[in-house]
Amino acid sequence: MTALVFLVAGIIQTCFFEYIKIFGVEPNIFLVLVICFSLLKEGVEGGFIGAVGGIIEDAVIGTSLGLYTLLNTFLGISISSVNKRVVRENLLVSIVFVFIFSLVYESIFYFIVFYFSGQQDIPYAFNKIILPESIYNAAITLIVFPFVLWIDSLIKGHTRFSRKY
Amino acid sequence: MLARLFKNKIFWLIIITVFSLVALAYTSKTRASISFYEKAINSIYAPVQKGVNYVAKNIQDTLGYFNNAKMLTDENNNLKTKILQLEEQNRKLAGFEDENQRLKNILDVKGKYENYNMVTCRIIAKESGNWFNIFSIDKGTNDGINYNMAVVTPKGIVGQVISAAPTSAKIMSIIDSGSSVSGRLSKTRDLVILRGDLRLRENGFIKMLYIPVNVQIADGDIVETSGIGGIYPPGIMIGKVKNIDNDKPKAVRYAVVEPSVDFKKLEEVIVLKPR
Repeated sequence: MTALVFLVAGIIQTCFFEYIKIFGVEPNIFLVLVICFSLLKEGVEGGFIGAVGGIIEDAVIGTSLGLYTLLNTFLGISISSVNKRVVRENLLVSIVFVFIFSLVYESIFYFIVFYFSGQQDIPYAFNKIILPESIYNAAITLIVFPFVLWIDSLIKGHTRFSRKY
Repeated sequence: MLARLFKNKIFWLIIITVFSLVALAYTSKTRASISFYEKAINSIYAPVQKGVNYVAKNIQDTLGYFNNAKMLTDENNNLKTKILQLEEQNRKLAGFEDENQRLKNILDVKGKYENYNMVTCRIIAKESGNWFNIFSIDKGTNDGINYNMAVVTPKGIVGQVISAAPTSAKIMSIIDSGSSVSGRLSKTRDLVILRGDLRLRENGFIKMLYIPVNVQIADGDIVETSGIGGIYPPGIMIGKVKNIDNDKPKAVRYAVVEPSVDFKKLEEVIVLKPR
């Protein structure tokens, strides 16, 4: 079920997002989906979501197998292990998580792929790519997160709040 | 005890991590053919991307129709004037063409694409993301397109094929930060390297590096492919020098080159298949 969601996300990412670029950046729907799904998981289960999303992302927009899988797996693990003390079904919480973890993820990606291979231009990468993309990701969370909640309730069979008020 | 191990989530996450690292190690270096899994995913995606691209383009054209009315009227008038000028030029050129053909026959000049079959392809998806400039075309190994083939347009070089599935292929353009082309300055015949750059890619420019110390370069100098490296045939236009930073020491100076191809408006490309 989640694999199907990611497959459809891949179509949306490669065909439509080219047309909705703002300031030259487009959102990364794979990243937003992984963060949103992992937010609703406990323990280390987010890692499996990240692995599924990463495998599909590798085939669709990757040039080698394994880079996005690795990054998304550890992103999923980190999110699902730190989300114990927040109300996970809250939209604002998801927006904040998406923004922060987009910054972290893209920075790590930049360091691994560009910085250590010689292209060292941190101010440009941060100001023109990482920060705008994180803001854009947080903006599309407004649409993506309710959808993720719905898919999750379909999988679980019910909607249940993780913390009692 | 083994059953308990297989139920442990951390065990499976470690397996996934190890598998990803191994796959990354095997697939990071340049590879002649992609894995079966990637071929399968691309086979599913290519027709859908083609369909969606077709619909999106039609919607875009329809919406653009209303905006374009005045622009088209002005363009029409300009074009009519141009036609008159061109008809006059044509008459002069017809004479030159005959002379050219005679001289060519005398010199026996070989065309630069003589050793290649040209396959015209359409771009179906631009999956560049924010970091890369990679796009997909609608033909693949079924049409004889393979890894490391050069991709050009009549204006100049576009990039090279980095992976090919049965019905689609991925092209890395020359403005992608991972791209490196061996070029030659037309004027002085010196070899240079043209690389994509993260910052320059925004405007569609590329960087020219390893310029020999004793060479004088000026704005507007033409750069073409050198043929070294075996990917691009020699003599194809890359672009013109836009800006050279002469303040830096000559050993580390670089120039900004404006490619002759406009990457923002690319729709159709030609893949060169070696005969």
